[in-house]
Amino acid sequence: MEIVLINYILRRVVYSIPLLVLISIIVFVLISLAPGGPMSAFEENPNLTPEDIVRLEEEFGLNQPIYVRYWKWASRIMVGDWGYSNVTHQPVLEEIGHRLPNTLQLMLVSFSLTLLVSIPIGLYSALHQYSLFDHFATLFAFVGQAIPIFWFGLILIIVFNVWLNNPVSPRDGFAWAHFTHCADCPPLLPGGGMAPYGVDNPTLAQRIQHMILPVVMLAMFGMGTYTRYMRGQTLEVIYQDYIRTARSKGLTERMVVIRHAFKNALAPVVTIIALNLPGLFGGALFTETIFSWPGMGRLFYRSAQRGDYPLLMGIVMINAVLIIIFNLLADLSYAYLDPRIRYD
Amino acid sequence: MTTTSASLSTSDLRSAKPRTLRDIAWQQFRHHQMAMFGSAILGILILGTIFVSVLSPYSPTDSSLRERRDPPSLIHPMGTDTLGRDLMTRVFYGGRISLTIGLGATLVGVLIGVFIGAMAGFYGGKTDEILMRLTDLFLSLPRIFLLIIMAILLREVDVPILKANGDMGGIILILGLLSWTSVARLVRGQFLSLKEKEFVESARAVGDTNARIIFRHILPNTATPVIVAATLLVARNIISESGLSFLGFGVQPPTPTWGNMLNAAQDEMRKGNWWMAFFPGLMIFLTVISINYIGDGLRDALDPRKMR
Repeated sequence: MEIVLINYILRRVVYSIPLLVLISIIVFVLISLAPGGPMSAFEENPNLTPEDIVRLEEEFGLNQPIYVRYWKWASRIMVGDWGYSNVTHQPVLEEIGHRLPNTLQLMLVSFSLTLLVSIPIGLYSALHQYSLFDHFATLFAFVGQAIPIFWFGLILIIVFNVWLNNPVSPRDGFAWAHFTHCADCPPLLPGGGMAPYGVDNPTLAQRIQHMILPVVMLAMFGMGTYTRYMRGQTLEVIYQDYIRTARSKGLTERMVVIRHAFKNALAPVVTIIALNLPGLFGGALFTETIFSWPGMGRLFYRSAQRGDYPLLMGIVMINAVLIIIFNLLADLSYAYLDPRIRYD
Repeated sequence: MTTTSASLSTSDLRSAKPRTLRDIAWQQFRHHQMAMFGSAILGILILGTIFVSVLSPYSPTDSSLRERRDPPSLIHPMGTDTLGRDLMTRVFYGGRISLTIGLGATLVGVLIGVFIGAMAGFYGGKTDEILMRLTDLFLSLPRIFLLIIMAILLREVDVPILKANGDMGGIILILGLLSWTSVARLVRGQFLSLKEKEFVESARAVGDTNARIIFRHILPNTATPVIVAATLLVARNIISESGLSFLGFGVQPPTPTWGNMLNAAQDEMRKGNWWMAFFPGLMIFLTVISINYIGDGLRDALDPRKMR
């Protein structure tokens, strides 16, 4: 079993290589079409003559055909040399390495929240089809699918950062009215960053406070989709023969739902999750931009504004790798949930 | 529509007038409350964007220094922005651009998707293999990141049709280029099953060319799922455009879209001027939820299993 599994993983990894190569070619071609590029800094320098520019271009190999340049770039990538940022002149891998953990932390927490909310709602509303709860759950799912998450983020800020206050005033102490009316109270929740301004080693409480709004915003991504699919899949399995068999064996309703219905309904939902997960990086791009969260998405946004192409390229590549890893994990969990699937 | 005498007589028994497929679909759709509700909302929004230039006493571009940052009131139902422009007027002018981009990008996406899906499904073999690998590739591209990179490149392209209205044409093109995959898969699946059917065989027997078989015989039969998918794609493209413009890489001001109005409102909102962000976002939300409900209603109405 284990050898089969390892074989499967290895095969999937090998298959993903051509995909990564193609993605890198697309991005490389796009970026080499970009204006400015690595020479723009020299072109603006008045001390350099046009002859100097040509000489520098030759030195950097920029006058070579695009496939030669791609080949050189790709071979450097393979040995871990991802180039330097145009703006900060730091190695690309280092810049990304600083931010990646922050993004993954944000994604992991909010994705857990998404599943904790949407899976039970979808399951419960299918088990009570056409009840009042079901109607509200369906409405919630539709709203969740239609709400632009960047707008949702702005609404969160205005409500929890601008309008509502922390009810404990430094002068008058706690009062319920302070939630809405209080001149010297701090905001109920911070509206940006990972820690209070100027604080290098925030306490756990401060970290959690700063996470709440970005996590809630990002958790909205996919919430409606997963709720609807979970409901739909549960409805598919609930009328199957094996559920009737389980009931007629005298199992409690609880056992029927948990052991038989839930597990079988969940397996196809995992596929939808795998298809949607890459989008979560896009969601993180908006969340990090709005909440000044120092992650990969915000790094991408700023690099895009500054035309920092080596960094853009690096982030897209890291993203592509992560997408492929997530898809592999989703496939494995799908196989675990549905024993009929074989690794071949 | 041609009906045999047998089916005509059975329908004669039920009602005097035989119902066409379109009648049945419309009847189904009418009973889908939320779809009708969505159609109404979307209808009002579209009318608003068309007639805003006639109905609104304000210009979307003229600023008024005395009326800057006014909260919603009777004269400005959605308030004013930082330059004193009436927000409601701008929201409807912005809707013009946002809806046009949503429709235009979907049209581009559907055209590409139908072409690729039809080729892959009809010819099969190597063609299918290559085109489906291409589709897989596009599905695993980090979408929003590529949209941003393409949008930056777009600024340097000097083609007037792409540049008009603050890069509107270009945004339609890049959104379309990244939104054809679902349609391609759908059309391919339909072609794979339809090309084995008798009507295709008979078309071939009377000597129809491949092109005629593809366009005249098979393609019309794939219309139903494509229409549903395209409807939902419009909603998706509207969200993508607004996201891109929200980040500042989409349609450039002074051309208003819901997305770039949100971008401009970001700082204002932290000062408590909520209306500048609330209303443009509400419009995106209403449009998208209406389209999604319409898509849902269409799917139910056009589902042959549900036809009675």
